[in-house]
Amino acid sequence: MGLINLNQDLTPEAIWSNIEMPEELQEAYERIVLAGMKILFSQGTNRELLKRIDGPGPIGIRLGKGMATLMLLLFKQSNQTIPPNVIIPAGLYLLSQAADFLKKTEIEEVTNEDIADSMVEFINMLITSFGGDAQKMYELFDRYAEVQQ
Amino acid sequence: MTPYAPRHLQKTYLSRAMTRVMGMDAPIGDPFGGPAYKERNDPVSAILSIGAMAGSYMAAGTFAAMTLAQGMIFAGGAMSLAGNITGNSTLTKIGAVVGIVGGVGSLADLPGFNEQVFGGGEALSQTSSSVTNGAANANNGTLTNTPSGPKYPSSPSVVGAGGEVTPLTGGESVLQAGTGPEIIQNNIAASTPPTVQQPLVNTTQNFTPIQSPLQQQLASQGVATNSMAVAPVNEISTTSKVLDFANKNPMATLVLANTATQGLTSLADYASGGADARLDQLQADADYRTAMAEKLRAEAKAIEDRKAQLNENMALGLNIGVNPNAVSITPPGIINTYRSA
Repeated sequence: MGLINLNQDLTPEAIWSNIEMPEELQEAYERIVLAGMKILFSQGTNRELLKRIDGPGPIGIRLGKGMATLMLLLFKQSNQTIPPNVIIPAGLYLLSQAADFLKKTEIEEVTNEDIADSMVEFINMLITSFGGDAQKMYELFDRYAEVQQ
Repeated sequence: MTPYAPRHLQKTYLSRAMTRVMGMDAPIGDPFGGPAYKERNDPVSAILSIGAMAGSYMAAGTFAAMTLAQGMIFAGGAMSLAGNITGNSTLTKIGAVVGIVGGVGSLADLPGFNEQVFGGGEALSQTSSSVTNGAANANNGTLTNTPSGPKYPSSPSVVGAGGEVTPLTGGESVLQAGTGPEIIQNNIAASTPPTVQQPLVNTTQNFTPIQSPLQQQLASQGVATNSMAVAPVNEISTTSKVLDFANKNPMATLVLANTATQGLTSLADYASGGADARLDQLQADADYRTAMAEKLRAEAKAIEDRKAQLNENMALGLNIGVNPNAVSITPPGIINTYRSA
């Protein structure tokens, strides 16, 4: 991966290049991304989705919740046949696409920090929707990180 | 009078009902194609249902729920990138941990991860009663719980993305760049690692402990580790093979999962979900065709009823302005074309 340029934008291309899918999941990952892009950018659904993201509160939280809901919708529509371990990577990429769209169309001002916050919110909501406890996960990660130091 | 236009220049406006039918063949989100499962929503209807979606989609502790978290390993690089650029500590933490774990195994290797995050409680201690030998088919086995947790190297070290363990000696910071997320570590005096309760540990000869590369590395350095995973003599060793294992060895699956009923049901259902979905799709197709046939029958009946009414009216001598014997004459040279409104 190399050194990180701290001044770079979190573009969809940067997110894509940092997601590494195993070969057996690559096709499923691309299909889900394609399906999500259709919903994000097709004429009939784009406005509806933006309405759902619109509202009070920080854009990071709204965007994360909106993308998590989108991924859950895809999961439901597929009769839960989407491999669950593809949901988070595909969702993060679609999230970056949505943020990029909002920035370029100047519908909302979206900063790198907003994108980062939306990623955290996205993961929290997905973990919770799948019956997990995100807070316990972070505590476990803290313990593990301390032990590794 | 509507001016005549060639067919290829005529506009056709589809109703929502028609687009909904069209949506059957191209469902949203189905990565494998095929008709939507019991859903007849077009994209607009699908989006309108977003606001209605809430609640849990998987029971806690299910295989799918645990698998969801594995996706963080694949996206660890992206999360690390975002965390490092923005200074978001949560993303940096996730990216660092999954980067370490992903290089050597899975999140299931983290002691207590599945139990505490998706099990709704502390790591479970389970003992199973000893059973007769059944190692060949893995339906039987003896598992006991030994609550000693994994032990860590006494000197601080850095685990690289490929699983190599590099001891640090005093004072230096290590910036590692590689295929995974960057990990910046400072040499901190080793502290006593916490003892973590392991749910199940195999101590019988009927099962072979499965160790991740990290555990093997630590074992080669004389650090005792406890494996959370067990495999029968017929080796099943990777997460991607668990479904095959579950299909062939339901009893062992029950033991591997933390809660017997949930684990067995969820794994078995997940493993056979594809077949069930296909069967249900066939049933949905059959239902649809039946409905279409009923509709055609109803229309045919309506036509018959109208004919009967017409004949009755004629018999009564009612003038309804229709000549039932009228013949449609098509002038030569004109193509009969259906015109839409």
